This record gives sequence, C-alpha cells and structure tokens, in this order.
Amino acid sequence: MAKVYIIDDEETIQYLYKEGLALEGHEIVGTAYNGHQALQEIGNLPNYPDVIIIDHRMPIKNGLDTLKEMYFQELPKKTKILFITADPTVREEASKLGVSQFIQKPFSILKLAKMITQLFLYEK
Amino acid sequence: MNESPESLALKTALDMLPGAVFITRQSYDMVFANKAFYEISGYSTSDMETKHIMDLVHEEDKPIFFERQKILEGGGKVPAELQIRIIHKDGSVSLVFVKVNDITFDEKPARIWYAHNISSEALMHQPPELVRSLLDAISIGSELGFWVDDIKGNTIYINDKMCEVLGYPFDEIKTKSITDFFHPSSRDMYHQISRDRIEGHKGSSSYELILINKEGRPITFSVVGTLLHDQNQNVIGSVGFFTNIEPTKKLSLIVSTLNKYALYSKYRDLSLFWQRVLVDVIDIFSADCGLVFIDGDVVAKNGEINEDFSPQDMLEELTKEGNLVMHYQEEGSKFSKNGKSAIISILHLNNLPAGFMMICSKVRNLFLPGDVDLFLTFGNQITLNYEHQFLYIESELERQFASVLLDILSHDFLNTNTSVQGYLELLDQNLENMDTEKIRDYLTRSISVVDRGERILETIQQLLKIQQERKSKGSVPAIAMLENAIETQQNLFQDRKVEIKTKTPQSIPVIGGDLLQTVFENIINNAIKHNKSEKAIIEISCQPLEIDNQAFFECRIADNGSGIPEEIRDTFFRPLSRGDSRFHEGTGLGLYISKTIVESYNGEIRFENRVADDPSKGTVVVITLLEG
Repeated sequence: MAKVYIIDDEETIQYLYKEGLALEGHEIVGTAYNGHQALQEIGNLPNYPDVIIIDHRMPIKNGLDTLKEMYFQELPKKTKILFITADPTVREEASKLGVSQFIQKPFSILKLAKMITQLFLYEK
Repeated sequence: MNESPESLALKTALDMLPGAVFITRQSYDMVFANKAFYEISGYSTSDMETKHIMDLVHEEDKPIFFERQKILEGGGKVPAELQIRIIHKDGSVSLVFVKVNDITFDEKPARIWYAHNISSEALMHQPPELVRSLLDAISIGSELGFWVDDIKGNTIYINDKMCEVLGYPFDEIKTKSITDFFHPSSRDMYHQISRDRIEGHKGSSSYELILINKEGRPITFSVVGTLLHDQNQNVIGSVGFFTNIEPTKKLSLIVSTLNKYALYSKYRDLSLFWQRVLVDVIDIFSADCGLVFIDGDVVAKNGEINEDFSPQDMLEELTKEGNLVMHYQEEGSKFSKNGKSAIISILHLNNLPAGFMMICSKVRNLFLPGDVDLFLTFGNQITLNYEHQFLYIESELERQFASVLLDILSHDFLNTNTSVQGYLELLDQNLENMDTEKIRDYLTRSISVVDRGERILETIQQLLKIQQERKSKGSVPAIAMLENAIETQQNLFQDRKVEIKTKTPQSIPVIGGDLLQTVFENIINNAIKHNKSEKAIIEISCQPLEIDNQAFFECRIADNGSGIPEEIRDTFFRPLSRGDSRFHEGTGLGLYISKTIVESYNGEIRFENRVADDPSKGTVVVITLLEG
C-alpha cells in the first residue's frame, strides 16, 4: 500500500488522514503543518513517499508555492501529488506543476483512501 | 528760377551717396531729397510734392522736432545729432540716426539732414543713449518686459512694461538690481544660472523667476536671458526678456494638483487628504496660512490661525449670506496674526454646504480677482475628488471585508465539515470493532471542531458589526467603556488572583463605537488568561495627547505576563486568512479583531515591552484614538 506524506495546517485534519487512510492500509510516513516544514523534512526521509497530500491554504508557505519548489527539486515520477483546494483559480497553475488529482473539501475520507488505493493499482 | 551751378553740383553729389540725405528750409519744408532717400523710403518725388517731411516722422518723435524748433527760434543751440523713427511708404518703421548741419542752399539758409538707418546695427556697437532709444522704440506696446544689466549687475535699462508689472515708476527702480526683487525661492537658481553663463557653459537660457512687486505679491515670469558681448567677445552685460506667466502658471498648478488628488486613493488613507491639499494650495497662491473646515471639524490647518477664530460661526455667516466665495482684502487680521488678505471658498458635500477652505496672506491684496475665481473652482473640484476617493475607499474596504468573509466561509467552514464528516464516517465504518477510547477520541475531536465552528461564526458576527459600526462611528465615552470592560473581565476571572490598577482622567470622548468596549475586554482578557504569574497585575493608564495639533486619546494596558517575543508579535495583528490557526485554540484572534475595530475608528494599536529591551517582562498594549 502507499506511503503517504500529509501537509495540512490543521492537526484534526492530519489525524483524520492518519485514521482514515489506515483503513485501506496506507502508511503515513510524515506530516507537516506548512510547505516550509514539509520541504525541509521530505528530503530527509529514507524513501520518497508514494503520495503527498497538500492543502493549498496554509500559513508560512501555501500549497502552490510548495508545489513550485517541489517541481524544481524534481520529485521521483512515481510520487503522486493530491492537491486539496477549493480555489479554481490555482488549479491551472497547479496542474502544470505535476498534480495528479485535485480534491475539493469537504471530501469523504473513506473515498479518498480508496482513491489512493486505486491510483496505485492502476500504476502497477 | 534757374538753379545755381553750386546747387546743381551739390544735388548731383548727394544723389551719388548711399545714405539718405535731404535738405529743408528752417521751417522744415523739404526742398531736396537725394535718390537714396526715395529708394529707401519708398516715396516718389510726386508723393513728396504733397507731403511735408514731418509726415514721415513717427508720431511719438514729432515733439523732438517741435522742441528743437522752439529752442532755435529762441536763439538757443540744439544738438547736431538725433535719433528718430521714420515711417516708410509701406508703413514699416526705421530707426534712423540723423546728423543736421546748417547750410546755404540756393542762396538761402537751409538745413541738410544726413539720415543713417540704424535699425539693424549691432546693439552693443551703439552709444548707450541710442541703445536706450532703440529699446524704448521696440518695446513700446510690447507684452514683454526687458531688463538689461551690466556685468556687475547694475541696471542699465528697464522697459515700461516691466515697470508696470512690478508697480514701480522707472526712476524708483533704475538704481536697483534685478536681484533686489527676487522671491527667496529664485535667488539660488538665478545665481547658479549667472555663474554658468559667465563661466561659458551657457550663453543664453530660459528659466522661471519669481519677482515680488511693489504690493508684495509674487509674480512668476518666464525669462529668456542672454549675455551681451562687446566686439572682442568680452561679456559686458546681460539682457532678460520677461513674460508674466503668473495666471497661466497658477492655472496649470491647479490642474496638476487636481489630477494628483484624483489618484489619491492609492494611499488608501484619507486622513491626510485635506492636510496635503491645503499645503499645496497655500503654495500655489503664495499664501502664508490656511484652514479646511468640514462637517464641524477642522480637518486641516497650516500656519498661525487666530485662536479665537470660530470656523463654525464663519460657515454660518457665509451660508446665511448665500456666498460661495469671499475675498477679504483688508480684514485678514481676523483670521490670522498679521493677516491682511484672505479667500474663503465654501465646500459642498452631497450638494450641501459642508464647510470651507480658507487661505490667508500677510500681503495686502495678495489675491487678484482671477485668483478668487480659480480658488472657488479648485474648492469645488477638490471636494468632488474627495467624495470620489471616499467612495472608492469605502467600496475597497467592503470588497476586502467580503473577501475575508469568503475566505473564512469557504475554507474554515469546509475544514470543519470535512473533519466532522470524516470522523462520523470512521465511526460508521468501524463502530462495532472500535474500543471505547477510540470512539471517545473521535467524538472529542468532532466536538472540538464544532466548537471551533462556533468561534468562526462569532468572529464573522463581530466582523459584521465592525463593518456596520465603521459607517456610524461617533463620539463615545472611552473611560466609561474601559471601566465596564474591567468590571466584566474581573467577574470572568473570579477564581484567579487579579489586580487591575487604573490611572485615568474622569472622561475623554473619543471617535469610536460600541465595540470599543470589546477591544478593552479582549486586551484585558489576554493579559489575564495568558499570564503565568501567580497574581496577574494589570496597570491601565489613559491620557490625552496632542500630535501635530491633533488631539488624541492614548490608553496603555500593561501586564506582568511573560511577554510576547518580538518575532511573533506581527502574527497577532495580521489579517485573517483561510485556515487561520488562531481559530483553533481561540488565542490571538481577539487582538486581530481589536486591531480591526481600532483601525475602523482611524486609531492605532501596537505592542511595547513593559520593560525596555526585555520582552519577557510583560507587554504593554497601546491604543491611540482620535479625541472627539
């Protein structure tokens, strides 16, 4: 199953991801409250995560700015990025930066967990 | 009668000369003119049979001849040389240098006149008297002012127009230098231009000079100045051609000032609008002081206005009489110390008289009738600019407010929904297999999220109230509201050791609204709630302040808490954004709300250390509001 990294400034949402994605057997390999923290930590992980879930609106460094930096750091191609935003104006730019899926809040955590599973079944 | 051989010989010889020569009897009747005379003047011999030589002399120069004739008839002597203007047949005028000699012609006394056209001679090759005559001749009726001075700055020549504009007769200023009439702002620039010229960088140049006329009124001239050289190219003086551009200059400044304030909204702050406008308009009209009074308030003041001058009484007097603009030429002292003249223009807001703009001067009759009309136009237009800017800023604030609300609603509420929906889904999916701890964990988290939703709603409600109050702010009793806030907070923290010390005047009215009490409550609440000391000591001091002639109220709320590190202070005051973490714990948002409220009253809120350079010894929150 997928190794997932969560970037979201709300602890309650981070916990929801952990609990919900675990039902499908996905493993949360790290969490960050903003893009700045994530960029510092992801590079130090023993392995790149399979999935990175990024919320757009966050303090310090938002989702789009985080994506731009990740794009230039050339993430492994197998890493899928799920971008959480309700703002249609950032979608076009985000899609050019390698986003695999856009998720709109409020979303079903169970459906999200299943979607990640299918994403990897399809890949394999 | 046959001509004598001598006369014939003389005529033949004179016909061969290139210059015009003519012979008259002592009564100025012409008896001969040579060929050159006819060629140059354009007249024919038959023309001259019906004309008297005096008909060819310029009207203004005829007295020269009459005067000479009178002296001669009285047995006196007259100079043999003179300059006169001759009118040609085609109407053109030549300045001619004439030498006169008495002769015997046809055995009778006569005069021979040698006329030399000097209109195109190099000016500086002529004697000073001729130069003066020439300058007079060419500047009569001209709108140009002339001022010629020598290398040492001594005046050589000033034409009538220049004397007229400056208001002095020539005799009164001929011994003065042009620099004696300079407005202080022109001195340095003129000296630099003079230095540049002498050093050869610039032979001639054009520039603007402000001179002060006899009445003390500054007049702006556009000047073309050039050096005068002798035959050896040595500088011997300079000449300036002056055009009075004062009326057009004022008009142009007024237009550019109106344009400037048409874009004033970029500053996003109208509090300095009238102050800046007043400074500019005083400068344009070279006034000394001024005042803008709108809706019962002096919104801008510059210079020394009499303390006993009542703008409200003035406005009532003007509106009662139905005047749009008033020009005071002698009664300026009632507005300002040493004041002589003043203009007051009524300002209209929403088509109703709302106040006036006044400028005063120590110069008697500073303002011309044209200035009064221009000032009225400026007052009308600038008020329209103000109205437009006001509406623009209002709509911009509305837009920002809507954007903040949208952010909160579209993100924070969605986050709340996502969390609650997610935890309910998890419970629904696995309820049978979950232990009680896990179920409790999910439920606690859901309740916490719902609580947060409630805080978000409260914030939205407060923001809505701020928005409404911003439009209806007025005078509120600051001290009474502070006392109510203290009492409310003391009741909330009955279980804590709290001491609140106050040092306040009896009452100070400030510009604000009901939410001012919320500001005091938020700050006192934070000072107690986040205070780790065994006993929270809050010291509150309030006092009136005066900054740039504006009355303010300052309230300082100091606590003995552990302070706020300087690097994170800004985060407490910054605007809300989606997913703002300050919704999570309910901390810090109070300060953002307080800042929003205080700024909606055109006030200011800031942090200071209770102990200088040591943020760990407690914080002082300083609120500054307009007294009102």
